[in-house]
Amino acid sequence: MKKALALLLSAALLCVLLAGCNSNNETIEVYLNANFPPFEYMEGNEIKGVDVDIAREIAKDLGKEVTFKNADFDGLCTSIASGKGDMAISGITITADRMEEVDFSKPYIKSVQYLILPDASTIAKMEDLAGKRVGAPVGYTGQLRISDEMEKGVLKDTDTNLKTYKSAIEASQDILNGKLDAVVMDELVAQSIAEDTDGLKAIKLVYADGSAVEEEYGVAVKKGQEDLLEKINATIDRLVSEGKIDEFVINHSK
Amino acid sequence: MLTAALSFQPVADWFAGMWDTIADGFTRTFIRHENYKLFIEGFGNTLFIAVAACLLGCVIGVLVAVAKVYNAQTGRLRPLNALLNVYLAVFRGTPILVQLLILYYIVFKSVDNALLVAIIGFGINSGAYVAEVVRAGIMAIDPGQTEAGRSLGLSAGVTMRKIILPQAFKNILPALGNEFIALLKETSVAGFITVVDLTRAGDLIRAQTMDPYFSLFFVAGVYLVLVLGLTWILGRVERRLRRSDRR
Repeated sequence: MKKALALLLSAALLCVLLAGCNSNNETIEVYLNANFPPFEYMEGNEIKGVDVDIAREIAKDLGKEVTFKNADFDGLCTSIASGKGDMAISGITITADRMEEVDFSKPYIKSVQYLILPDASTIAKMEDLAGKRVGAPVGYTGQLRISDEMEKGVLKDTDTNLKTYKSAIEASQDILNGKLDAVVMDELVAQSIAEDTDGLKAIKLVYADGSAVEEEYGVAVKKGQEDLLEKINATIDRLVSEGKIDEFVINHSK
Repeated sequence: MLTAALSFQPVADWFAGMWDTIADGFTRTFIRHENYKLFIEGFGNTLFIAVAACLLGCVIGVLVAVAKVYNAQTGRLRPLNALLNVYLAVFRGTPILVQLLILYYIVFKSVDNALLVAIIGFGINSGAYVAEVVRAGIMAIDPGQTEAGRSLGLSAGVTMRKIILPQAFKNILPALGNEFIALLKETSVAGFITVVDLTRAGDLIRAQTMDPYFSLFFVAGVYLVLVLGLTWILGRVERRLRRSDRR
């Protein structure tokens, strides 16, 4: 009896171990952080979103299956750089810092930073954030930009309080609880959260001179994979020319 | 000579390249954007939360343990005892991270001081563990000690404070030390409620540098040094307390 049990347990363990290393060539593993609607979000226990659809198209063109791995955003590029997963598609803004770590495909969508505010807020531009409590998730463009501005830009020496979260949704919760005055977030995500939440609005984040914080998302892959990158770029070209990406955005924006 | 020098060139290049990578990583992680200030802030917050929560946990733990022992001996505090059992079950039975999130987003919804919420959360949580450790310590003291104290005319409270607790404390010190070490490391989840602790400081710097090595190993090293320091202090206290032992 004991022996049978031991055998059964070791068999189970072996299965887990084998399942753990699915480094076969039939599937591509895509890393993302499913807290970023409409680009990626959970519906039930299923990950959905614009990036998910794009990943499926890329997999289709490569003739492979696709699996998704839901991870923390601040670790996505690091994971890809260290050889975990095949690519990260998670609304990742192409920046010089990140390009030192991973290679990016050509941009598949343009975005701009927005502010999520309480309905009654009078904040209208970057300079208005001086001395306010501003929230953003760790590693997002908003967080990096605000800390930059606080260090040497328009928010320097203004005792602005930047609070960091794991996701935009948690940060927005803190506005409703009165612990935050604004959240800095990418355009579509900000609009999606503001639409779904009573008492919140989303406005474009601009400086006093009218300029916005523009950015482009790309697919991140491990450095030195020219072949893969070329195929991803081909898929992106196809999707853009077919108008598919706009279609995905509309589909997932309810 | 010349050929030997040539064959060493790749190795020398490799070391030089390695050195550049390390120096670059170090600069990006600690110097650029004055990142070391963020680490100092995180270190301060981690230490502050750990020490304050530890004190709070000790106060709660001793009070709970004494109340439970008193009830076990006299049966006079039944309702309170039932309440304390619920407290122990809930706070030892749910993850600290979930407790923190509940405290921050629901219970202290309108308290805009995440550091305070963290201290309360870790303190209450730690109190539950300390209570059981202290209770075990009190129960391990011979009942003859209480009887002797009471026979000498001391009140129940004085007997507990002056006779039982000091002896119990000596016995449970290693177990308490364990709890403090666990508490110190558990504070690493404080970042989830916006506190910039050591771990979150590392997260923020890593998000900016995209270099995992320096920030992660540095953060791990600081925790290790803190725990080693704590172990050393506890060892000293233990030795000091043993001086009165019969040998």
